[in-house]
Amino acid sequence: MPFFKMSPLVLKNAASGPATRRYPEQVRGDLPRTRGRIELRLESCTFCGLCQKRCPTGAIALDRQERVFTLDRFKCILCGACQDACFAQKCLFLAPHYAAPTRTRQVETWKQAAPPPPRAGLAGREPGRNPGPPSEGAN
Amino acid sequence: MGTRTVVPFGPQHPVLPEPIHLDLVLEDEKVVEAIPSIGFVHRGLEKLAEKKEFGEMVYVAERICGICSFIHSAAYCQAVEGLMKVEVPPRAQYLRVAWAEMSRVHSHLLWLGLFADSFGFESLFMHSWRLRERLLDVVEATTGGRVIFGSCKVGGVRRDVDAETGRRALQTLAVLEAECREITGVFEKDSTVRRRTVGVGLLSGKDAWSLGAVGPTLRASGVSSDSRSLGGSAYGALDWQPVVETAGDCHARAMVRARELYQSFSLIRQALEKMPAGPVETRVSGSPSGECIVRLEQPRGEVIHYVKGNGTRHLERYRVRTPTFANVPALVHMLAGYQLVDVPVIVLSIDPCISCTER
Ligand code: SF4
Ligand code: SF4
Repeated sequence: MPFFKMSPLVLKNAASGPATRRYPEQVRGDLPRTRGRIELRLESCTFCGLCQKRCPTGAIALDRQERVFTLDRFKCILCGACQDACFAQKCLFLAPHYAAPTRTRQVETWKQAAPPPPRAGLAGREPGRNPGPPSEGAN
Repeated sequence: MGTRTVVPFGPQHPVLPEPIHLDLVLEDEKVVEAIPSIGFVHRGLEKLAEKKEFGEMVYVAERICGICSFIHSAAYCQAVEGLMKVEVPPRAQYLRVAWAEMSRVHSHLLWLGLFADSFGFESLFMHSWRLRERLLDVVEATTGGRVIFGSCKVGGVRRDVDAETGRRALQTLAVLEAECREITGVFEKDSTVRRRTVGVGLLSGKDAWSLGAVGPTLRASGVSSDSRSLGGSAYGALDWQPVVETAGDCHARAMVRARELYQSFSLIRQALEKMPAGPVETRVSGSPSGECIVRLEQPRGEVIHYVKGNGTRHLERYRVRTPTFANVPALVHMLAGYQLVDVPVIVLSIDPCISCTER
């Protein structure tokens, strides 16, 4: 009967309860791949500036003298280009949980106490110097 | 002849959250003429290509549209790859097909909901979107984003789908496919839906073709035209046929999209199962120069990306012809002669995406 095509579906939905979650009490949980927010392991950052150069939105600002790393979360589009750029030191990565909602502009600032010890593979490279793009054209 | 009245429709309108404006010239309740105007949300993204490095421009291309995001980025990447003569690894091509088809399923489910909403069938609208949410979870599990996949890059794709993730995605999709049959049955047979859509917004195959309609709007009028049959990405190696309906009315356009859902499910399955092992990207070096044009099939129809490079890191010209732009003349033609109450249904039936049209 063409009239009653929708009825079984409506009855099924009425019986099965809501499809939505009651958010603060019921949380879906993170999926491992979700690009939720950028996190920084500041202790291994050499302030090479690659991530800043690669960020398409200019969300990252570095102060090499003061060793201050600034990330504007409102500018960040979670593309992951900085994560790819920081392939050597691996200090930037995309964590699967979202940044908390906020009403004011969220600019996070980190200050590094001491430069990281030079790693074996990078011995001889002056910290704070841009070693150049890892592969031309890769983004 | 009755008196003529002009009723403005849009850019802000309850049934259509898209910024298109139509001046509807009415004679009593009958539409005599519709005069469209667009240009409310122009963002100048094409111009941005002259400032952004060609690799970074992928992120911009992906954000042209919030629904067909992935296919925009894939078309842009294909165009730049064409300029730079880059061979994309087969695995990446299969992944591109899988993700493009996921975005088609998500777009069609979204559209089926909006279409039901246009004639006031709210429970069907909600149910379509409920199903779409499940697909978005699959997208998030495989790419990390819900609508911005962020997975395409010049030279390949940015992330791989391992066997386990792929298997789980296919499991969810199999359940989803069965659930979709419940709603597409309603769209096909329910008398409420049929009364509002059958015979409404008729467009003959000849008119559709000569007005330059694309995608489901064209295929619902009996013209078999689908740019996926050009065999780009891995489409040439997969088993599928363009979905064609012949009635040319709003119902036929809904049925094309409903049937394309199953086609896309089948393509995702085939792509993920047949995907060869291997790398997912080729290293790209140098700067683009020359010209390239790429046609891909978006959920709304054929999109054309044109790029021109001049040997620098930036493109000299980037141009996108979106499917909605091609469908607007057909829409204006369809509207004439129908009642005012049918306007939302007819406008929705081309699946307008005005923000992407204005770039
Ligand atoms: S690329 Fe890595 S090491 Fe270099 S400045 Fe950025 S976070 Fe620090
Ligand atoms: S994720 Fe993208 S936008 Fe965000 S800081 Fe990194 S490079 Fe910049």
